[in-house]
Amino acid sequence: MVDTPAPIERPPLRDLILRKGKRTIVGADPQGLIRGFFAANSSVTIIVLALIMIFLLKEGAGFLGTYKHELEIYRRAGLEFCDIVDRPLSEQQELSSKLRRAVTTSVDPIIQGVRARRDAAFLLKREVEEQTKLAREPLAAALEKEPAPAATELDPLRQQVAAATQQAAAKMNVPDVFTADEAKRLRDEFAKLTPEVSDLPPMLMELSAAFTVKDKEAKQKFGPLVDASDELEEAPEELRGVLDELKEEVLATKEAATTHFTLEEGRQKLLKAASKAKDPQEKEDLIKEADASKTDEPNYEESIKPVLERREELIGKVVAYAAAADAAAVNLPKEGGTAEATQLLTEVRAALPLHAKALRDGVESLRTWKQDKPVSIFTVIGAFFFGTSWLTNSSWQDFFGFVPLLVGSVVIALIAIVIATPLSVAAAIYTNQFASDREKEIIKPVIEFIQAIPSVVLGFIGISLVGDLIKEISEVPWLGWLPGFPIQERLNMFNAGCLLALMAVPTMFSLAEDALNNVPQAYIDASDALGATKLQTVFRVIVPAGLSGIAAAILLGLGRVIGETMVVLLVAGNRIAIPDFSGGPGVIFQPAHTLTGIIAQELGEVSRGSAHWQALFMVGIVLFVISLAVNGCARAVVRRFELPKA
Amino acid sequence: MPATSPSPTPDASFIQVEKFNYAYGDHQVIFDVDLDLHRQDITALIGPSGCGKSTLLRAINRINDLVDIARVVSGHIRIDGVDIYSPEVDVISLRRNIGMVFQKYNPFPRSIFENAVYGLRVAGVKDKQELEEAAERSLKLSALWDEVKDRLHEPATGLSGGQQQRLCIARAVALQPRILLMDEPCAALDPIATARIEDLIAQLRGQFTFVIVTHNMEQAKRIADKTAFFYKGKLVEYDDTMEIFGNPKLKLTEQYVTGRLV
Repeated sequence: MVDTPAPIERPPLRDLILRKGKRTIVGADPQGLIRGFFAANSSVTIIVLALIMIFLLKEGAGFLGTYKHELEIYRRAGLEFCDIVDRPLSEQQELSSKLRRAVTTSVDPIIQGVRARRDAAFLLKREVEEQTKLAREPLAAALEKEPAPAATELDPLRQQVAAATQQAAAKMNVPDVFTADEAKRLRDEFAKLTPEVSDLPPMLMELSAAFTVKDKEAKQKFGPLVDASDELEEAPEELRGVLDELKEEVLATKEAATTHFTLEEGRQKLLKAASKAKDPQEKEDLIKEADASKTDEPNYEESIKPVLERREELIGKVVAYAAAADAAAVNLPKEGGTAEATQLLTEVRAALPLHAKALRDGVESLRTWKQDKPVSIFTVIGAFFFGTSWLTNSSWQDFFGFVPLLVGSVVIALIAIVIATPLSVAAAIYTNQFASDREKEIIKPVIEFIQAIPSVVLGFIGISLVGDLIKEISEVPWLGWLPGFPIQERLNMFNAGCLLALMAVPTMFSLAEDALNNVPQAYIDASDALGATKLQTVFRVIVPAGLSGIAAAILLGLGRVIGETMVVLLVAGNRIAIPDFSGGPGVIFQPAHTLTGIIAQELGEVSRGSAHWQALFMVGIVLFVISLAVNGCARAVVRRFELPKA
Repeated sequence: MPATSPSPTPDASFIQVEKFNYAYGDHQVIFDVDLDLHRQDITALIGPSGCGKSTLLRAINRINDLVDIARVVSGHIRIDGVDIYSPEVDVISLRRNIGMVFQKYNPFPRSIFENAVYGLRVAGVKDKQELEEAAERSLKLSALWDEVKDRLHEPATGLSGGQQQRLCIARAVALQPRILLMDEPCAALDPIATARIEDLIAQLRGQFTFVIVTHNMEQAKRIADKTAFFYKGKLVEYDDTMEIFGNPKLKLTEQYVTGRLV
């Protein structure tokens, strides 16, 4: 049925399969060369990764040493001593401002009416004056002339002013806080306004007087509250006085020390250059220059003495102030004039004893404080990894505490993942299992396109659109029950989290969809054949089988989100402080700073090799480790739950 | 009747398996197999799943080398007198001269023509005319030419299963190998396609030395000159096909070929 060609004469098989002389390129096997080329390419990534790690470690490694040195100066110069009191004392300002707000909100309803009348009248006067500015100015100028111009010269100017003023007063739009009679009187009096008379019109005087009376009356009504507020404000004055004097002294010591170390570093460099210099003349010059900049390290023991001499005085003031704070808590009236004031009062009353206690606790530290106690390396490590303040370029002392940044990054990443996970997984399930081919053609490219949006552009959207949107929504009255509503800041962690979620969706969607795609058709057929509906098959067979892939997608999304910089820098609000978790979930509407953001923001401005520079590299190292760990987890999850190969 | 027709060179031992032991890691799958396959014969390897027949087949063209843990424990396989596991053997040339057809037809997702000439292309043949001739020859050999000559440049995946498998055979014979290894070549095909493949093998008889693994007793009876029965990694009986099915020497063989082996 088929014409089979005759077999061709061929050499014996044994000759064919035995190895012959090999072709080589400059002595190497060509196959080996090609292999080597590919191997070299794949190893480039590994080498680069290793170099990045080495570089990061090299720059960051010195940090602990430098920071230890800084903390040593902080202790030996006595700044630490002052901070024992200064730190808790800083709370007082916040408490005080809360009380002031309580006073204002209490008094406000009473004085509102009279104040509105007074302010409205003054505003009208200003409007009239503004409108007649053209006529008034020449008259005012003429009046100031020396010697005074003749009346004939002034009169036309006066007439102009009078005419303009009358016109303006007649056109005045008097608000309805005034009765018709009052409005008429205002018009009459304002029609007579002239730069020659500096006294206020009588009606304005009356309105002002009425306000003063009412204000006094209100203040009297809330007398205890006003007194308490004033007392708390004045209570720490003596303590502050002493403390400020001490702070000045220790700061001088610290500055002397800083100067010494800076000069010393320069001197060492000069000496090093001198030791390398070949020309003897140049060498001598360098050494001379070095000697000229020689300074002594300040004598910490001597300079701390005047501070420590006043230790008991300081303690006395602290105790006195703590007692005053306690007393203020007791004397604080239970209720303010409004619900808000009462709320503020409750807060302050609860906070005051704690505040006093914090100060009293410091007394013991003040007594036992020693400047020559060595700073251990664990203290330094703790100060970085558990430090709660990141404070740089401070005139007092820089602190590199990592916690506020970590908390910011983690909270933002979690918000992003919580938002992105349902979005991307649901989209993946829909696209993979329910969508028609036509829908798939639209959904997939659109979602993947999000990845192409530059993150800085997303930042714009966050600032201009999402921020305003969240703020407006939060001000809708019937949504007020939601935690954190209404929000204070447009740029906050939630806003950043939303945008990062958008950025994470494409990655997570693609990976989750792949995971669902990899579920063997045999499973699906089996489930369908057993009478499961489409939805049952999806949720009982496909999703569970693809779960490890979905989990890996979430983790990789997390890795993407933690490392993202531009959006958080633009949108997260960049407040370097641990967000206040006491308000519950509403915390997500507070601004924060992040690990990535701080590096991007500050690295350009710090001097190379300084503690701040090294601290930023330490942050980079930690970030690197976090990313590695997240990716490692994703790989582990995938490997642990791998499906049998179809 | 193919099984009774005399082999062209009945005495020449072309593939010699000597005291062959083979293992995956610590798990030995072939024990002390001695087997002489004759030039131009069609030999069927039969036996229950896991008896080592496929492994032996894959050891003949050393395609199992690509499995990391697979190793020869001891013994030799000689082809045309050459020990194929000796370092002097070029494994690429070896595979070029031993064709292989798999259980599941696996043409590349390219055109029919490109599938047919893939082996020549990787062997470095560039001459267009030579490639075209080879494609035509091998497609004629595999009895596919008349069905595909008008659509050589259409995707191979558009063919039916039987056609795809015949294309895989064409792909293998295009290199003009001496030996064709077939691992259950009809397992994924319907009876009509199977019959066509069997016809094809019968037509190619005498041009190649066939080694065919099959689970289909009837197929072995229909096409094979010799049959080797394996059980648990050992060669139980090896003889002319008619002997194995008609007059087995061992009880075990009889039980298996009559379907009574438990």
